[in-house]
Amino acid sequence: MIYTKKVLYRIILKEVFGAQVAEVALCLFNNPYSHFKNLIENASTLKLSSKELSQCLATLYQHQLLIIVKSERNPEILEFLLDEEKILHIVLFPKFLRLLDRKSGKVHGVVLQELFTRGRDSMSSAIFHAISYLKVGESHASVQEVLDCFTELAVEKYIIPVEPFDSSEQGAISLSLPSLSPETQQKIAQALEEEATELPELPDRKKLWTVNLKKLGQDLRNDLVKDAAQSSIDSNAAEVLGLFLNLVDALAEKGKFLNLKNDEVVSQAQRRHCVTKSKFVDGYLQILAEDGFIQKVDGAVEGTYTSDHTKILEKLARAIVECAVLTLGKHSLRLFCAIEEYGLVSQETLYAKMILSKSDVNRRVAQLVRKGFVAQYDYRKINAASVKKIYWNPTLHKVEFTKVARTVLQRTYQALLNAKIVSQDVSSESEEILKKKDKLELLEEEVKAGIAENPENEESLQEIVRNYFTEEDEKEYHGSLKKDLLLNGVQLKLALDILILEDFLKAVTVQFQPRTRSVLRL
Amino acid sequence: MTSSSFVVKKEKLDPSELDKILLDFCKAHPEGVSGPLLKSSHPDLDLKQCTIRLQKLVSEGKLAIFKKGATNLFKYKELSAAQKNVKFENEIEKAIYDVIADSGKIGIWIKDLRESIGVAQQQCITALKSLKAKELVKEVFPGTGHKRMWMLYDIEPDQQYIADKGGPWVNESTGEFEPDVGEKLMNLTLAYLKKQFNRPSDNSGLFAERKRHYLTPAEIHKFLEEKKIIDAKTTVEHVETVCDNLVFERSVVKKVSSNGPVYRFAKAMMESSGFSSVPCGFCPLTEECRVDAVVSPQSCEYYSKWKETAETADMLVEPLKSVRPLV
Repeated sequence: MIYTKKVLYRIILKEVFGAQVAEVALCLFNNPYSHFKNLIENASTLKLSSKELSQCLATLYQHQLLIIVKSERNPEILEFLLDEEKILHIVLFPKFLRLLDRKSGKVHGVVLQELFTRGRDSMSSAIFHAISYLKVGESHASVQEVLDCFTELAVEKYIIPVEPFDSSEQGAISLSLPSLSPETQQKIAQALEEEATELPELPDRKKLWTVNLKKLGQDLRNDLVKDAAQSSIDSNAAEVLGLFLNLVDALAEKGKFLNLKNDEVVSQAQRRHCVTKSKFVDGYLQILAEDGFIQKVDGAVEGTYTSDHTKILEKLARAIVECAVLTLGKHSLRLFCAIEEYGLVSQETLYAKMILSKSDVNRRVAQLVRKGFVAQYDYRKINAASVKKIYWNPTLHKVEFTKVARTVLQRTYQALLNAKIVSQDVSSESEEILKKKDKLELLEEEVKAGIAENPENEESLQEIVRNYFTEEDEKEYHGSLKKDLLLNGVQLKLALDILILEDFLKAVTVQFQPRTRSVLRL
Repeated sequence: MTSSSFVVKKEKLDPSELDKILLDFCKAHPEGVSGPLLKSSHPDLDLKQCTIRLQKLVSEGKLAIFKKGATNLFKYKELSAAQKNVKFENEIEKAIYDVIADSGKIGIWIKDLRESIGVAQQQCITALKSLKAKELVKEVFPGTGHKRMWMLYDIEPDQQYIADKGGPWVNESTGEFEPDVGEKLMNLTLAYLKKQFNRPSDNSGLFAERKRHYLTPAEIHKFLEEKKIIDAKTTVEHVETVCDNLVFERSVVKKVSSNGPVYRFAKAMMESSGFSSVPCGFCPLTEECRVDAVVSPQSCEYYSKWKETAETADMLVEPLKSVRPLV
């Protein structure tokens, strides 16, 4: 998996930041907790000067890919660590935007996109670039409208200020709302009218904002859980679950107790004017508890419920793993689930319990073992009276879910890497046709101008356009667009699976203990 | 001359006539016929001739001899139409046939058969094959984990001694698995559970409505019986096995209530994952796949075909633009 991750990260970072930044990031991936001197030594192999190295580190830090910690041996020395999760967020960012588009609106998505593109930026700059982007797409929004969107995003904590809160307020909810003075707003409007490419220096340039990827990741997970509830129950259940999870997250931020009473969810439903009638909320909560999306804390009919993050992750991870097993066939899934249910089981038991022929059971179990979904144990029963005499030796099978999840994660990383490589090949193949399409647009404009001057030449001018971009070219162009969309869609799906599986493994694996050192914020 | 000096000469009867008398007598006494009983019933018969004829009838298979205490008894053996016309290849075949016939409805295991007659494995198997071809004997499979038994062709195995043969998807006589039967049962059970799930709401409340979706194995068994999909040999336990298999396929959900397990149709939580949406999910060479290797994504035929034929994935916002780093 390490090799696959290295190649994958190299491709993603090279695509977005360039080759130099990608190599520095990989250097950190190979040698976590390196300090600057280590990196200088490695820079000679990377053929980077110390200035270039500093710039690369600054870029990584700008885009939240770099974690800086104080060295344990010498607190004056800073050590660098690559934040791998944020690399995955680069691939997932279109999904975040779509989530925000559905929830809030297009302008919110554009503001978030511009801030993410720049890593960290001041509010005025982000607003300026967002309006410029909207103009290119022939949408219009005033400075006030975009400022309101920015404020809403800050209130919802999708955007957070870069400067840390006071140390006494660590973990508190206090937030300074963003604001722009009317003079600053006027200067932005003026710059937009003049079609300037950059803003002049404004008073808020030192107060930087950045995208809260943690919150977006949390929302994405909640969205996936809601989709799962919608698929397995119905849309109203998904809505109730969404309300419940939002309430739980809000309480978690306040550091409060996470159990919710039924009437709290009902009042939230009423407040939000949900489609779901509040009298049905209790029924849906009971159904969600029965299906394992939430947990009932007490035995009362209108009870208290809570949400266990690990259990939700396990539910989603289990669905992903079962989809992976399903690629081997429906009967293999049956065997996999049966072995998991029965624990340590012999093939004789499977013959008796499964509606499958013995040869089918043997073949499929062997395939599951080969693919790493099922573990095989040789169990020797030894006669206590005579240790040397072994009189029973059945082979037993077991599903160790954490290991299987890790296997599927490894395969998903491989699949994502393959999709990325194929996507790059498709892009390079379709480069020519895309250039031709761009030229066609210019040609069409010239032809329109030509027709306006000499209307009698319309036929011949149209003929020129048709001959330049034939039907076959049109077909090839649409084909390449379709492939591009398909591959992008598949990459998103794979990245989502990786997100869930990584989170699940972090939640359940005892060995994983992140180094608990204070993280320095500059 | 006095009457006491006369000795009545016992005329020897015709053998076929004597056979008939003896057979009729044995038929009339199904518990068995001993020498003293025959002598007391038919004092006029020559005992020596009777003994010879009885032995002949035993060798022909019309009578069976068995011991009760110290006495030998003769019993009448009913022959089927095939048996009356049967011609045994050799004595071993005949002996095997007789032992199998004695086993009645329970049948006999091949090892016990060999030991009772005292023949080698290969001889026994050859004889059994020959008898099976003549439709005199058959092999019966009592159930998973049990031995195959041999019995006469016309006899129905005794259900008391035949263990659960594994379900209606196991062929009774050969013991072979019949996949079509199993799949059909599973599909019909699933369709019934789905029908129950899609029943119109009766406004009794969400949770109460959900309780209605659950069915017990007995209810499902009753439905299948009414539709004549299953026969009397299929029990509720078999239906429970079918439902458990559907649970393992994630088409059905099981809940253990106070009255036993209940089952409900379940919609899939996730139609497909990322891994199952790409050719890599189905590729047998995924472990050998490396960039620029012999097996690589660049040269992958599955990917080339998939790119041309697959439907477009969910529409997205445009991918992330290239980033200008701020220095």
